[in-house]
Amino acid sequence: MRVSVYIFLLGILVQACEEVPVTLSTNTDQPGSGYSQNVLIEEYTGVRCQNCPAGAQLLEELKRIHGNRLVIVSVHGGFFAQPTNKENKLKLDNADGEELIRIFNQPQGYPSSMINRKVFSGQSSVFLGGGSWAGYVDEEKKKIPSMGINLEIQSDSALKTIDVSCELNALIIPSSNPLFLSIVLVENNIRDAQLGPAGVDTNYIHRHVMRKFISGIKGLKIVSMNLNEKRVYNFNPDYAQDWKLNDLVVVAFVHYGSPGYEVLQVVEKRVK
Amino acid sequence: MPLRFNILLTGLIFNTICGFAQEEPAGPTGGVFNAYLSTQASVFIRDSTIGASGTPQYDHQLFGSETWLDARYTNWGLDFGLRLDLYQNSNLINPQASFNRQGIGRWFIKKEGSKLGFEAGFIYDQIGSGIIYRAYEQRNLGIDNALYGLKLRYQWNDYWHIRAFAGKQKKQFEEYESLIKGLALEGYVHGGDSSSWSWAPGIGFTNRTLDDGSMNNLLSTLSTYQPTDQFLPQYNTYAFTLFNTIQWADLNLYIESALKTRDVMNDPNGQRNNSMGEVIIGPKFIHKMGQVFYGSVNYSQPGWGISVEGKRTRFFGYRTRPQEELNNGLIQFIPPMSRQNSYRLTSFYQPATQELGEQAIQTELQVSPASNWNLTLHHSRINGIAAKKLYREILLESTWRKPDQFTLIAGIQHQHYNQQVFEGKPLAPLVKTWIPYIDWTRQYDDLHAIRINLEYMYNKQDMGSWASLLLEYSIAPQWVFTVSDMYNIKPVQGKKNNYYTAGVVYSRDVTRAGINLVRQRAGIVCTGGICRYEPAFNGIKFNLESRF
Repeated sequence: MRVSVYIFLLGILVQACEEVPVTLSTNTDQPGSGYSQNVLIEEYTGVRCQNCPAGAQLLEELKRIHGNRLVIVSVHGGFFAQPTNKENKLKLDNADGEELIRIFNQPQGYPSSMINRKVFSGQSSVFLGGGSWAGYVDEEKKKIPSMGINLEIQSDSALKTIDVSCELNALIIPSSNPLFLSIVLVENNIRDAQLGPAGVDTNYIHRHVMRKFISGIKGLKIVSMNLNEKRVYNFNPDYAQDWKLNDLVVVAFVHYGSPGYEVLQVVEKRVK
Repeated sequence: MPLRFNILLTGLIFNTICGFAQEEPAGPTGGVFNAYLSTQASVFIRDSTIGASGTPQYDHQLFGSETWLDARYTNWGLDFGLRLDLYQNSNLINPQASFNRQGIGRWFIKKEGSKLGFEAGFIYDQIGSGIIYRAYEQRNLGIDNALYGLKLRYQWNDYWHIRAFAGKQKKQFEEYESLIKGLALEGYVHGGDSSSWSWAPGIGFTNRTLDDGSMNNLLSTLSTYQPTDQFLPQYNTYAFTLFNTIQWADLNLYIESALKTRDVMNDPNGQRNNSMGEVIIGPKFIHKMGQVFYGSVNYSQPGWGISVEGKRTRFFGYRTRPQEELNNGLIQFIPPMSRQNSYRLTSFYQPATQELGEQAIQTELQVSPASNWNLTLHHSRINGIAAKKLYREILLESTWRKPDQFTLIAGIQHQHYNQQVFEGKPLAPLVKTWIPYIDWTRQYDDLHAIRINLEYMYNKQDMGSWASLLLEYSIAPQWVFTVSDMYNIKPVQGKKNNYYTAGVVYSRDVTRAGINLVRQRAGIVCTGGICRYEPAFNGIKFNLESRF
């Protein structure tokens, strides 16, 4: 008798443990004429980081899913970027990358990424491992955009200069905290050595490589704006001899200042 | 922490205290106060030749420290504890970054000694050997995963008790959002005063409920997977364990079997296809049921003793949220299956516990052929899933003691260490080492002694061969002077370097202070099977410990 009571109670417990099944999220992209909330992912990588090619694959997969709403900047810097493999012919790390590390510290492991430079709830670091990227990109995409950005770009291959016109549009009443505009030159399709699981790949194609912060690492301070006010900022950077104009991309993002530098909006546009 | 949880907890604590205060007769008016101070401070001196550079501490902060002041007060049948944690430019939490926070790292109120006891606040505890639940602190690894919540303990009789707990896991000065609950029933049965047997059985259960943020993040990630790799996770994961300690004469047997319902784990080297049909090798969430079998047998007789430990693990990563990596958010502790060596070269390569799959056995035989002579023979064997060789260790050690004159320890260790798995280096060959060592302590009188430790590592892989020398002169009970050097005598890659230390430790009464000039290589540091990357260090370290 007692045994059957126990079995009955156990049955109730097992039943009680059943959950209503969850459903997988679907891509919420809706084509529209207005501004959409985009997401900036700054990946920390290095040519001696053997797990970074897998991280780059993950990012490309996310880029395929989110398209223009995800902007990737790969920062080569830190202990996996120097010294390089002996097969490397190019220098992908630069002073701006080192300066970013000075501001945000170095992640505990590579590859790691900052997503909109935000410390998410339940996280104690701005850096996230690959297992979290997709979720937080999705979370950030769902926000209502507070700033619109339009980019107009012209280039002069003879003078090796680019004209960048960046129009900002305040979509909601901006907070009293000062905002900053950062403009970054990023280069795709750079062929150079990269350590991977099978050794050094001398024909590895590096994408989204951060080349230069045109506006300075901490950004250009935006003079306070009113609701729906538009303002244009112009930049005229030059670019290095060996950077390929056809592979250059301009990334523009609006962010807060020190200490967090959290990103509000980002766009990218190919130079050509 | 949400306000609702705070209010609930406060109410529970208040009600429980009131209840106990009525139950307990008034005790002596004076309470007992004690405190323990532990501080470690470092001066960072940049040395790029060994990789001691490129972090904020070396670049511009130059000084870092960690301090813990643990205070306890006992009165009215209650224990109160408060710990102040101070991290200043600390690289303990993240070796590559700087952590600056200070505040209350732990507080608790505890009541024991009556039928119903409780503990509220930040609670350390474990069930069985910790396989389904272990909340503990390991300061040198930056681990402090106390449970912030409430524990109740009911003592049925002298032999049986049950305890239940609920709360959230601590993360530095915050808490994870997932909820952890548990229950453990433990007992003790013996055959009477004249009997030579006893039995200590136990059963435990834990449950983790994922928070919405973690679940939504997980669902978003899974939605990027191809349909063949997708699955639907659950909010709740349940883990059960059954454990027994059996003592029969000189034989001691411990057996534990743990089971975990289907749970999401992060496979750092998982394989999946992307939408282009390419194979991605990297972090991948998997959904598996987990199990661990663990057992140990110890048998001793005058002149000899033997211990055998075995373990089989399958998919037993149990964390407060599956997105956590490294040593973060661990709910479980799976006992390591290798010898805890203390010398510098014999502990150079230490295997970390593998959550996803491991089967291991270790045996240690101790023999005393003569009254002053001990022999130790140790063997560890760890394989991964599909019998992949992960670790082997054979160690033979002889200890010869002549009381009040000297102690001579001599031994040899042979290891096979799978660097691909333990350190995530895909192309690294299996490291094979031979390490002969001698540790000689000469005691001149009651006060003065000299210790010499000499080790050599023969190794053709990884960082090559090493030699290590340590000289220690002590004037009991107050002074210990140490000089040591580790030298990569035949490096496979990179340059030869000396990694030296020189220091002095002063002890008086309950205070111990030490200062050391340290040049230390980067490496993996493991304690109790939990490992982490420790960056190279160059500079001065100061330690102070004291009790009040």
